[in-house]
Amino acid sequence: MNSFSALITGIENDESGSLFLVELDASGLQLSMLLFDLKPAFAIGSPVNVLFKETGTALARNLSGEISLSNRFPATVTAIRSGDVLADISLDSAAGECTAIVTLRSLQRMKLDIGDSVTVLLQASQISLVTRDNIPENRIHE
Amino acid sequence: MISITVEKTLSGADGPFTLAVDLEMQPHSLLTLYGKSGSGKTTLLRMLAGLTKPDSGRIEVNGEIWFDSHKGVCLAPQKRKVGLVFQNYALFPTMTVQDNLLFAQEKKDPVKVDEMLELAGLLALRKRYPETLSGGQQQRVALARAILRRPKILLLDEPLSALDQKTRGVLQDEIIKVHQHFGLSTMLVSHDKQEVFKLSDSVAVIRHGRITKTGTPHDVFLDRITSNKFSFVSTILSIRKVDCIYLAVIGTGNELVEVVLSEKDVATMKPGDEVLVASKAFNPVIVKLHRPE
Repeated sequence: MNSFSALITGIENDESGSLFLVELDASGLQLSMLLFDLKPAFAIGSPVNVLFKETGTALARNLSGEISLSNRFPATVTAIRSGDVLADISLDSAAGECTAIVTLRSLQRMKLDIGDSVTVLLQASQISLVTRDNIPENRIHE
Repeated sequence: MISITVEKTLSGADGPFTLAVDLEMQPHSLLTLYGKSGSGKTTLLRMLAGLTKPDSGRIEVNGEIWFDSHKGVCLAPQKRKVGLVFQNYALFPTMTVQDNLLFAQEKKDPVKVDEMLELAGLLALRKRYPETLSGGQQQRVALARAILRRPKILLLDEPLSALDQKTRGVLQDEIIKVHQHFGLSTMLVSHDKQEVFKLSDSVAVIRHGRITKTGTPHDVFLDRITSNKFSFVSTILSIRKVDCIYLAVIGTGNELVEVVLSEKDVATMKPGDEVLVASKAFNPVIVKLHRPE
């Protein structure tokens, strides 16, 4: 699971107050994500971890034109491990390291290599939040 | 509905304290009492079973009053229809497995005993004496014997804590199986968090004779708040490499799910680890199933 530390910088909601668009700052990267039922732990200024799955992390190269995905940020390819079908691509970004798992065909089509600059693309609905500083094992004292 | 409102002064290690509990339990659910030893968990079970008398209060089980200090009602243990399973099995050592079960029946019915033996996977052991059985087998007999009486409440007091991890896992599955099969109302005393997660519909945390927290295991134990709609705590059963990714098998009650892990995940996770599995409300695929006409 990819994880970035971030702060909640903005919260918008629909009229019924059950769907929220949360704005985040992850070491200067601006991200936004969707969630239902905002818990009190998620307020403006709250430190959180932003989680997103490697298999839901898309990459683009020389991206131009408009795209509906809410989140895009630059990264550099630091390592590539290829399988027969998939490839695991390690990336370095302003918010830290992350991984994208894409098909080997996409890797070959994009002619990606170590050191290349790419744009990471994430859907707002694919990002999860967890509160920071809490590790389950440490909290059950009963 | 099972409702318990009881008070009793107990002598604890640090002097006397009052057990004062007000608890409701849904029928056919599994409620766990979770807490340190000496917190009053076992006393509460004993009160339900009629083995310990509360100083005051009321115990009502599906409309039937088992105890009411105001009305002077206190049903004898044998009238309460409870099934009890303790950590130490408590089988009759001079009776075979089959006879241990037959003895528990009010109306002797060898056919029912056979059915239960079969369900519990004990048929082959029916003529054996308890001392020739492993701990897990003995506890399976104790569980079968408790259920044979069709109890209104099944009370399990740390039933698996003397068993090794593997046997414990198997017996946990069996507890779930019989709990569901017979539609039992089960109250479990446990201090094994993973066990609580695996078995319980709800948990009551008991501390110094008071219930300090109640809710689902998730609500009670996980302060880590996630933005996810679907999440459960479970254990990684196995991890295997597929191409350049990994697939983890994770147990969820009786079902198994497979989750994709990355190389980085595998560096910090191994089989046996407790994990939180979560998915956003946006992600699950949903398809209407057509009912056969």
